[in-house]
Amino acid sequence: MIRTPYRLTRRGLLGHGLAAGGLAALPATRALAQTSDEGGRLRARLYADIQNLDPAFWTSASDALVMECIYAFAMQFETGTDQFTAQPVAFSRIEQVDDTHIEFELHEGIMYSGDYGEMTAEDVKFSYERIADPEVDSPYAEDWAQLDHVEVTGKYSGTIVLKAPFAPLFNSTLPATSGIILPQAAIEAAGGQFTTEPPVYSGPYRIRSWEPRTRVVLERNPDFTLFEVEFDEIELIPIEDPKTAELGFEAGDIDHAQTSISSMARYAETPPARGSFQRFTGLNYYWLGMNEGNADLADQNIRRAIQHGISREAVVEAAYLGAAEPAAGIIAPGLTGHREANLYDYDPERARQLLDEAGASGLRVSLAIQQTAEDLAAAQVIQALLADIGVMVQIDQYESGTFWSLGVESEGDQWRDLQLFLFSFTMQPDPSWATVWFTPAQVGVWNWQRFDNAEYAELHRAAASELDTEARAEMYVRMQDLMEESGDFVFLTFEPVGILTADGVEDAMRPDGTPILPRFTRS
Amino acid sequence: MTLHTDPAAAPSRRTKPRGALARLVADPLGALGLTLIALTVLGAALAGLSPHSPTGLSPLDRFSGPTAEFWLGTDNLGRDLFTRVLYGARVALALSIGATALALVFGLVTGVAAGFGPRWADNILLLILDAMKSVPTVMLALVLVTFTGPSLWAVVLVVVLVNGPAYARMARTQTLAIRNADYIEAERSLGAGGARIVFAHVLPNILGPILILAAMDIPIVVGIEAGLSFLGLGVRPPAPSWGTILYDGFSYIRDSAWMVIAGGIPIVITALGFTFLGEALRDTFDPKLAKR
Repeated sequence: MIRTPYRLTRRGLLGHGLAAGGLAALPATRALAQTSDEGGRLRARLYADIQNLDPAFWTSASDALVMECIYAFAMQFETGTDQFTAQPVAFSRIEQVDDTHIEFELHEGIMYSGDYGEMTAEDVKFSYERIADPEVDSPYAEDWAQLDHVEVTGKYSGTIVLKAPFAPLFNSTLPATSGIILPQAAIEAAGGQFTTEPPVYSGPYRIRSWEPRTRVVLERNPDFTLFEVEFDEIELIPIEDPKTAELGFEAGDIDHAQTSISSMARYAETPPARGSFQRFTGLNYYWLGMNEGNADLADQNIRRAIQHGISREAVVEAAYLGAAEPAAGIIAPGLTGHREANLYDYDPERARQLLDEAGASGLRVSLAIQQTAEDLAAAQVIQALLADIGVMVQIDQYESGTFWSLGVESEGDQWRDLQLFLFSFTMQPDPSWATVWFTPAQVGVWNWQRFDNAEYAELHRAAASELDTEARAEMYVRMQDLMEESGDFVFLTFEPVGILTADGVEDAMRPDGTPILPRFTRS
Repeated sequence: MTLHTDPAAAPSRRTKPRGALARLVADPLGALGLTLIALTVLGAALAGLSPHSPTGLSPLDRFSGPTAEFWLGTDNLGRDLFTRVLYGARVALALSIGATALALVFGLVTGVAAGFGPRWADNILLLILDAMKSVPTVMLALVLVTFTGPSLWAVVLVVVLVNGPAYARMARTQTLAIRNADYIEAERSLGAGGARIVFAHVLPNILGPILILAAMDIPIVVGIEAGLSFLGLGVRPPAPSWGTILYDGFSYIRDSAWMVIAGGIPIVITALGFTFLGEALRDTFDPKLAKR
């Protein structure tokens, strides 16, 4: 038999390519899912990589999630309940003596890593006064806005002394990152602040390794005794795209993940095969902002016209596929100051009239969004609605790093060109956490609307010290009225939270769907 | 009569041989390529006949599968996918042919200038062309979009900067081969100027191979447009582009697979069409390579 040598020709290559393409189109055998419980390791999604684990300078919810694992918090929110109730953790006792004095006592024997010894009341004094110190310039100084000083009365005891009553103290200061206690010597050894390499650990876990943009591996801290932890390791995987996280969960590669909002209806109807789905009422608020510092939007009538030209129901329905409801403000249902109704309606006719009055026919504006499916859908609906009133919208998509610098003055002059933008902020369970970002002091920092209202600023300051819940609620509602009246805001929704948890894992979730990973157990 | 691939050996201006189209159509690969391209062109031309708007929103109709009304189903905003695919063909063809033409002009001008000009100009142009060629496409796109913002023109610029140097390199090589040929020397001795030599002898002889190369690059340009639009760096929403349809499809693939199918199929058809045509053109005009 004569064998001719095989020669690959260009035509042959094309033919083989077509054949291979055809084979690829055939149904593939599904890869077997990995098991989730090997070696006592919990694998969870981080929505972004860690950037800063310093309680005075952290930047994202991912940072906060990791900090909750590696530091002993003063207090922590209860899980598995629909009420925000904080319980002492590092504190063994905390008692409000009067409006401005709060006594505390630490558990004995809370050990720091390295040579930093035992946690004492001096550390409490250092940590809280550090965040409040104007020289430190912490973006979270408002969490301790009314702190006068911390008085140390014993090795483990002391008194938090306030300049005025401070309502957020037990809602968003002590049970959150601003309640973390670190030793002065460690911070000083790190040069006054640090980013992703904590100089000290005191929580249930410590960082074993960090591969940027790949994974953070936490291992159990043997010195931690405040509560029992179940998993030996926690592997946190940064997955920015929630749809990818969903696929990872369904493939068995992660045990816990937040879903995209647009997938929530599907998961509610058909839960994943190897786990469960839960829906939480989130606190994060989502809105359309308008930069009144931009020349084209300086006229309030133009901004009011845009407000009237946008049907919030249509935008929210398109972006969240029925999983969310339109919002009338920035303070979520269930929190003091939640606002039930807007001051205006969707009214295209009124919008056209306002544009005529402003002499802004043929207005063209840009709408800055991040590259997410929800933003893109919402933006296209806004574009169509505003086209109906004669405003042409150009949608500009940005990757997250660029987007988050668009309105920041310290990043350059690009804030002047910023016009409309879709924004979402994370939130702690106190209304002051929502309103703080829109004070005059935040103009060019997080207040990209450049909304500058003296009454608002005064109400924000006064509401933080108001202990009467009803009076406080009225103040926050009035503040949201002022925001809306400025024309700078179109409040869209509070983002619901969808959570996937693998079979065999018992999660521990705050009422807003935030996981407290060290409290996770096996079921 | 054939087109000489060695331009130095070409005694005079050559045009494509008679019966080339017939040979192209007779080649099964060429016929298939032409058919696929014709399908795409026809779709783009007839897009306006669709009863649906490519950008009109109808959220109540979202994620519909193929029906008598929506032949390829609808997307997450209830837009008819078939209509968007047809209008997307206009974007893809206009951009790929337009940008390739611009890249071709850039490449020819630069390549002939480098090949026909003084040595120092050749060295400088070569350095610039090699530097341009060394920048990865996506990185180049990111840098350009940072300065210009995402747009169709940004994609055109990316294509010119990515493909132009390749055409310039080829044009330079061919020009260098021709400029020292005997018949060019003869022309010179008869008093012919540089412009006459370039337009009467150089360009006609180097154009054929470069056009074939350009035809084979068109699917790459379609891919670049789709890729950049997929990354949000190309066509701005709500303009229909195959890349944006694919991106939307990727985001909602768990809700409906039709968006990915609708965005993917025309890219495959167009890419195969131009690749087949390019192969057949090469076989037709370059007998040395034919059937290899």
